[in-house]
Amino acid sequence: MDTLDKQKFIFGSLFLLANKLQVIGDQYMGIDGMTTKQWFLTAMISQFGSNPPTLSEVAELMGSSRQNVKQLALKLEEKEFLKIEQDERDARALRLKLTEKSQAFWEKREDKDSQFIRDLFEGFSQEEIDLIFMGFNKLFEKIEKMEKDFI
Amino acid sequence: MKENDILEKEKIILAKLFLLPNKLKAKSDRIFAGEMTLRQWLLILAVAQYKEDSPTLSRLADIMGSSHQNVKQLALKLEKEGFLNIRRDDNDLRATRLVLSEKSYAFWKRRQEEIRGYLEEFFKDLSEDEINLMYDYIGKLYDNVLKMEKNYYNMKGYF
Repeated sequence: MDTLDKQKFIFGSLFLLANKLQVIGDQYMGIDGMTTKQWFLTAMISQFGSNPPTLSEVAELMGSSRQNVKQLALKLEEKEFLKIEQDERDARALRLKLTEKSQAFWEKREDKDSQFIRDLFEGFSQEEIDLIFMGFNKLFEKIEKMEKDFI
Repeated sequence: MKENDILEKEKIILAKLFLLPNKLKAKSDRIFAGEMTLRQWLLILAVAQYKEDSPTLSRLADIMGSSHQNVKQLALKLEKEGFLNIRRDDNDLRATRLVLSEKSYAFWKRRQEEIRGYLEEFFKDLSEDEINLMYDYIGKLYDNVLKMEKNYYNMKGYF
């Protein structure tokens, strides 16, 4: 198999794996009323640490539309896992703040979720994990660069 | 603690597994713009893997992690545009098989350069060795995911 074919396989697999993991994740977390997409939004917001991001900032990071992110955010707000607040300085900007209830929810699940991750990466050595980690980071940075170039 | 470091990396890899395709979607559509969407291209790519046999709709839905319904919609759209032929299986009347059309092959040829260029750019920062390893490891991840599917589907019975 030549390099181009391998690239196509890796490229296509990114979509296929995400699809499959979303279905598995939905079933796995559905018991607790959580979805994979809501988990993903939570994880993305967490990336901003103690500086709650705006809806636009998260949408940009995720590569999703503001519309879609807002839908998800509203679902999390319904559960009281998220607070959507108007930005102090820019009334048009909405800030997303994860609540303590959210933190407690995920902390409670920590062991279960670790098991999920262990299942996903079963049989991988540390070197292999390091390579995938580095590889994905490079691809991610490349996408961001390509996005800028398109504009 | 070393174990925690690995777990953290694995969490980030999982997040990137969702993040990468999300980000790629919008930009990739541009490459196929006018002729087909990325999702349609992925279906064609999947069908193209089967050199001799024509895969069934069910098999493709399985591989792609999409519902039978969704893949059917994609296939119908592609058939309408002339990229696919949808056939009833000779032996199993319920099974539907997909066959690439001449138009598909012509499309491949035509867009080959563009797609090759796009992928080359995307993978530019990875060495050939790294691409080879990624190829192996993604295959391994895929196997683990299939295993998890079985386990979690079995879990369904409990709840």
